[in-house]
Amino acid sequence: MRLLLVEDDPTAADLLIDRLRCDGDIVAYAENGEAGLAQATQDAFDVLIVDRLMPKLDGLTMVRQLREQGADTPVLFLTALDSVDDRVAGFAAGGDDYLVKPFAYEELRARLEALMRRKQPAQDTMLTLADLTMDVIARRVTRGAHEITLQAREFSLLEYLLRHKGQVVTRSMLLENVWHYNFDTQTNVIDVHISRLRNKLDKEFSAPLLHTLRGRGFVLQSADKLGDL
Amino acid sequence: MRRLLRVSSFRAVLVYLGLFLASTGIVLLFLHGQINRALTSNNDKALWRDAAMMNQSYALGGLSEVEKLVAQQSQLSGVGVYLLADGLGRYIAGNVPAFPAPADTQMQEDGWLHLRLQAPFAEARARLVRFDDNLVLLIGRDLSAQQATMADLARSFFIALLLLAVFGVIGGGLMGRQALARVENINHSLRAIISGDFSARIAPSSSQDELADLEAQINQMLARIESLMLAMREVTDNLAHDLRSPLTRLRARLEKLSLSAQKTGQADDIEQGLADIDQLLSLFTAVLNLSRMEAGTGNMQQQKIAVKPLVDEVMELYQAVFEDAGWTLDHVVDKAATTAHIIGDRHLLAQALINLLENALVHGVGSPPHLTLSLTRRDQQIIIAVTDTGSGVDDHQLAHIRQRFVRLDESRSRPGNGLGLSLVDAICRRHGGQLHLSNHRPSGLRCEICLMVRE
Repeated sequence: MRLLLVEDDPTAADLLIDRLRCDGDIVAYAENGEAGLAQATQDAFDVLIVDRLMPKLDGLTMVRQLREQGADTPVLFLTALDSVDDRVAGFAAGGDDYLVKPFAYEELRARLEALMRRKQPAQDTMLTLADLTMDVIARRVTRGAHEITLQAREFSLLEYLLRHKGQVVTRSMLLENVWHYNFDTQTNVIDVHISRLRNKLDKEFSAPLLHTLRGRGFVLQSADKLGDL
Repeated sequence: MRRLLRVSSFRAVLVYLGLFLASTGIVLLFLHGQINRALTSNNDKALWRDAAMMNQSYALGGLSEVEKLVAQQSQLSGVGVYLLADGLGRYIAGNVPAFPAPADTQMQEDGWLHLRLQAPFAEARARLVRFDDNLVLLIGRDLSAQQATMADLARSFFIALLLLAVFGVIGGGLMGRQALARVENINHSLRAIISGDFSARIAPSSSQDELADLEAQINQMLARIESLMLAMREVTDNLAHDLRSPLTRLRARLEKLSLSAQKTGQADDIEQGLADIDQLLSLFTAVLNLSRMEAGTGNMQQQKIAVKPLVDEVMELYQAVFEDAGWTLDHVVDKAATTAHIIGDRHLLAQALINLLENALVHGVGSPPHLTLSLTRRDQQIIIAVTDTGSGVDDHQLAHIRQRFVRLDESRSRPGNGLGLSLVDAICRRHGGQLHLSNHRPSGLRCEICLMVRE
């Protein structure tokens, strides 16, 4: 992945860049919004990671100007500003995702993957993985010859997982995108819903598709391809 | 009108007007009596003069002279009443044909008679003048003119009182309305401030009275509160930023270490360190959110929200959690509550309800564990109630559990930071509502989120 990190704290930036490079990403760095805007317009990136509070040009203004120039590179805001207002302002300026510091690296990783693959058409109405098929229009899910009956929210959950098949999705991504809440809960509420979905999806079949990756999140994938993750 | 009656200045005007009308009435009544007495006294004096003239003419010319004078006076149109009669009461001269019957004659003080007469007279005040044993004169004054004057006067007085009352009520109403409008103006601004708009001010009025002074004072107070709030917001925002930056670096360093620690066997310690950072952060976030909510500095969305779908959504998210933990559930919705809307922030209200549910899940486990989530409407209030079957809370502790960092398990070993109910309480108050806590019989805690319905 080609990434641009725009962040005014050099220590935090170094630590993050190290980790991203370890995972094989190509990372460019800018220490303020002005430099970030210049780099983002010169070179092509898969995803921009942008802090909000920075000298010279703050992250919001930078992204707004970038969008005005017609650039549609996905932007992830990585910031200490955590209120709902800040979040709304981030999306309004043209951000695509919003992660509050401090963050777990795996959370950032999962969101970056999701943003990079977002460019795939979302209007597909037939989603498949191995012998699992979802017809979004007819609201029908089958696995092999068996029809699987899902409740409305289970259907949305599976649809999200299918649209991100092969990617790690985190608990907070599911809470934000399937239930549209953006606060942390104290209980294992997402795990409960995943385990119910898994019961319907995998129980009768020998090859499980919905996996839990400890400390990272969940992934919908054929078991034989799990090794890549 | 009922609103106007609640205005103190209008009520004061009404009370004052009542007293004023009563005292004016008494004065007018007294005046009426005095005028009547003065008129009577004038009449009496004229009558005495008349009688003296008659006596004089009898002394000078005897019967014939008196008869002539009586006949002459009777001819004059006016109020004089005359009857000259002999010793047996037979008519000799005058404008009254005979003495009235005893029933129409009333003896009054000092020899005055009150007579009821035939037309053209009505009532008269009269005296008897006895010249000798064979000659008597009834001399009096007809009262109808005086009575008509007094009746006119009474009517005028009454109309004057009525006009006073009407003008008084209208004037009081206008004054009351003006006062009400200005108080309403103050209230309007204060309501905006209560719902979190600290930049709102009372529009200054043109007059320079005590209310204008009050408005100026309140505005000064608001400016002070706003500057304190802004300072507070700046502090919390800076604190948030300054604390998050080192924590971000710390977390990244620990994560980096954990990659290499697999070999040295310190991975568990580092995992624990990461978990500690996350716990620290979640506590910090909770305190910050609570402070912002209580201070009203965090801007809140003001959307029209249908309450039932919001509750259904949260319930749908948590139903599975409760069922997997072995709970049974009841979801009761009052018919009148199904269409109720409120104004507020969907996220905050969902969070409040989720806090109550998670509280029940941790602290409200009964035997058997059962949760009732009900939505009811009471007049203009919508009530979201979460009731568990746990052991409840001692009555004397009910008042304290919504305070910050209050946890009822002394060891503080159960999960939670003691801020959950505080946040629910703050969210309710921020929405102009309340959090009610009560013990449920036979056992359990009942938490009610009470919000005002907006049509």
